[in-house]
Amino acid sequence: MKLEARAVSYRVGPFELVRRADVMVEPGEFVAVVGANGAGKSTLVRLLAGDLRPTEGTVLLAGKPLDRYRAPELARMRSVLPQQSRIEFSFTVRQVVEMGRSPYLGRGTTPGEHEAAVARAMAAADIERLAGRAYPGLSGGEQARTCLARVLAQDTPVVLLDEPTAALDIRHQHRVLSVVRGLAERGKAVLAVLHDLNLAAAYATRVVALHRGAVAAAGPPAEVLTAEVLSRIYEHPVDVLRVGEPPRLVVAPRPGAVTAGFGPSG
Amino acid sequence: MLLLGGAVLLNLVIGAVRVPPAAVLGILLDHGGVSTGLEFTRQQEAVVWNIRVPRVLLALVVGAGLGTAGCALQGVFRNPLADPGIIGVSSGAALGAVGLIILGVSPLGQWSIPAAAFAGGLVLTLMVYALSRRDGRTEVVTLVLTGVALNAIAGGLIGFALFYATDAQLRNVVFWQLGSVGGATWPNVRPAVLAAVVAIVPLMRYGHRLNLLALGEREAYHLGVDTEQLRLQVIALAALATAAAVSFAGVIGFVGLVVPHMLRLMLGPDHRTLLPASALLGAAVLAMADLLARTIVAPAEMPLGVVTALAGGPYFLWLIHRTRRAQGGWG
Repeated sequence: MKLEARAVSYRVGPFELVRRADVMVEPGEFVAVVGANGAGKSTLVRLLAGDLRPTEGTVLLAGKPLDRYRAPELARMRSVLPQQSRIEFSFTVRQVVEMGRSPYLGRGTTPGEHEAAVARAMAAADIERLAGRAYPGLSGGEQARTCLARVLAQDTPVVLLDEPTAALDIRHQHRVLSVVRGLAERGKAVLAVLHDLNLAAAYATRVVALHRGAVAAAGPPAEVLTAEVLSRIYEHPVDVLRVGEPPRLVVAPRPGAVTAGFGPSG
Repeated sequence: MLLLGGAVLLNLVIGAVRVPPAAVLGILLDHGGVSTGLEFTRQQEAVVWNIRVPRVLLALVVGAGLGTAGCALQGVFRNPLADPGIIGVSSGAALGAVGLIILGVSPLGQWSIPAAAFAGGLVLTLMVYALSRRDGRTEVVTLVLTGVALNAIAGGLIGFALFYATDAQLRNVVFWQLGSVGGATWPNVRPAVLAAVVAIVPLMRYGHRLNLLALGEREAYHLGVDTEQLRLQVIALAALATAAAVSFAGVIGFVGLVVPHMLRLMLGPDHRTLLPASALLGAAVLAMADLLARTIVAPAEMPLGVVTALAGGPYFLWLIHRTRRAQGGWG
């Protein structure tokens, strides 16, 4: 199942958060969206998810505009991990993950299949240990992994993730992205916003670089993650190295000069 | 359930006229068309069937309505501190009832005040909803703030009306605002039960969707919930349940807020169990409160709202402190 944004723009008052962006995710792909703060990454995810309606352009899912789908139908086609989820009531980790199955309730799926999907998702996100804990009491990283498991349990052909690794330690960053890459290899269409360019280089099959709301570059990691493109979109000097055998890309921003004169004066 | 049964039985047994439990059973079965050998006098029958049964029935549906509405609104606002007053239904109903008392007209006879309260509650809720809607969408914060604003305006108008009221009218208003199920008779219990049931029964079906909404507005949408429709339907049903309760029994505070809270502490946050449990416990709490209201200062009667507020207020205070201790502060 293919998800495609065609020349989408999103405007709030005088601010154009996304400008005529063309973005496509096909089955088998893991597209990483990178860019500076405020480049429009999260807004793009919200447009692709159907949370926001583009001011111009259209988003097509399986060839049909998003606003022609009803919410329950959409929930069986695409899943979304928002940046952070606050839950006011003390649901347990297992209850939160089970909610990922709700688009399929009463549709002929057996309790055993639900059970298996929840167990697989919890194992993949490494939260089996936390099953009985209350969500509000978890650490940020544990909450993020719980939400990811909820998305995995939804088991949809299109998966959208907004910074799935932001709150995670090194081991879990790699563990989670291995799972995500595995989803793409099993034929799902995956798009994830990633802040860490080294992770994007290591796991994505394609990279879309946003700069001030517009697509600045798109293509295989080796073509997009170059010193020239990155220095331009982050407005900061960045080196890109090739290390090891087989060579892998390592992105190394240059340290800035120490800023003098900031602080209490006199 | 046990509490509910106990509360009902005590209500039927206790009172100025002594009626033993066996006689109560006999009277109820007799009216159900079953003859038993249980003995009761005509006076006992009149007291139980014409006074106590309608009264306890009204207490039950009012309690169930307020409990369910409170639970559903806490779910839909994703806020454990929401109560049926937040959407303006209570102050709208009060405005309708007070307006009618002050104007001194009763176009519909004994139905005038309930009808005015009912209409006032629904109209104000509708206004809160309409004013917070933009481009076919409502935001929870806008909704709550609009509720605050309209509640204040309704309060001001009530005050304005009271300024022009005579002493007798003031007394009526005060009693209405303190709440009572003492006015229950068979003719006015039937519509109250009907309105409450029409609202409470469909609300039970929203448990699963309210659970998904607890994950967040966007998350619920991603999982297939049409959040705008959900909000509209739950608010409409909760307003109906509350309006039915308020228009026949006056303003009764804290049941809608405290009952779902107690249950969340005991049963966890799953709305599929919370909604029916809130209906049952709300009914039981109000039946018990009414028993207290009519016995502690017998032969006089304490207003029901006084009992629930005096019991609910301290509990709420304790809840605030407990939450602060557990979370180290708000937010």
